Amino acid sequence: MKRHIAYLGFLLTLALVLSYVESLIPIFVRIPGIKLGLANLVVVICLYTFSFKETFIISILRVIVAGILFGSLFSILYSLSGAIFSLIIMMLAKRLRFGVIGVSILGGIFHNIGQLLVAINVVSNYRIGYLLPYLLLSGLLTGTFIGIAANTLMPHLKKLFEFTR
Amino acid sequence: MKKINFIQKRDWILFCSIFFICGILFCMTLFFKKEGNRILVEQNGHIVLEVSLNENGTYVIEENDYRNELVIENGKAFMKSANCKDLVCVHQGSISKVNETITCLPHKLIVYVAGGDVSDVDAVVN
Repeated sequence: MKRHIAYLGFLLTLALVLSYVESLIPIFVRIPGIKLGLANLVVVICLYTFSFKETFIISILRVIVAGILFGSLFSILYSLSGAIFSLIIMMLAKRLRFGVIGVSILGGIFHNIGQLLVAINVVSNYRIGYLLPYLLLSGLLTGTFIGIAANTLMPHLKKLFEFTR
Repeated sequence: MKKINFIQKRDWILFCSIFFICGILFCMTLFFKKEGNRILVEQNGHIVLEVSLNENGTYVIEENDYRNELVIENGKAFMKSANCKDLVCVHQGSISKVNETITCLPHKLIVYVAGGDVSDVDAVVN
C-alpha cells in the first residue's frame, strides 16, 4: 500500500487532467448528461491494476475534486451517485469474466443510469426517463471507446506497475 | 513478454445485445411520438404552470431566488434564460412532442409536453 500511494496519486492527477480536457470539448448533443467520460479510463485501468478499495478511493476523490474545480456542488451529487453505481457494476462485471470493453461499456451505461435515477428523484417526475435510450446509446459508444483505449494502454502500463505488486 | 488480450467474446455479445435494446427503444419512441397541445411546468413535484402550446407567449417561473424564462413560439417551447449555474435547460433547445422534457435540475424544475386540452386534468395522469 505504501508504494501504491505514489501511483494512486499519479492516477488521480491523470483523471483530473482528463476531466479538464473533457470540459474543454464542446458537446453538440442537446441531451443533458451526455459526456465522453474520459476519466473513466483511469478508473478502468485502476480496477485492473489495483484492488477494489483503492479504485473506490480514486474514483470518489476524482469526482469530488473535479466537481470542485470544474463543476458545481450540484454536479458532484450526480457524478458521485453515477460513479459509485458504475464502479460496483464494473467490479461485478470483472468478476464475471467480462473483458475490458465489456467492463467499461457496463460502467458507462450504469454511470448514466445512476445519474438518471438521481435526476428522477430530484424532480420527482419519471418523465425524464424518456432520455434512457439516448443515455444507453451514449454509454455504449463512449464505453466501447474507453474500453478500446484501456485495452491498448494496459499492456504498456503493466510493465510500469509490475513491481508494485 | 506475452501479449495480453483483455477482450473477451462475451464483450461482443454484450455490445450487440445492448445495441439491439437501444434500437428497439428508439423504434418505440419514434412510433409513439406525436405532437402535444399543452406545456406543463412542475417544480418540486407540483404543477406550477399549465399553458397551451398553440399560443405564443413568455412566462417567468419564479420561486425564491430561482428564475426561469420559458418562451412558447410557433408550437414549440424553449427555455430562454435561467439564473441557474450550468444552464443545461437553456441548451436543451425546443420541445413540442408529447413527453419531451426540459429539465433544470438545480431548480428542481421540469417542463414537459402533454397531449389533450388545457385544464383537462385527467389527462395529466397517464
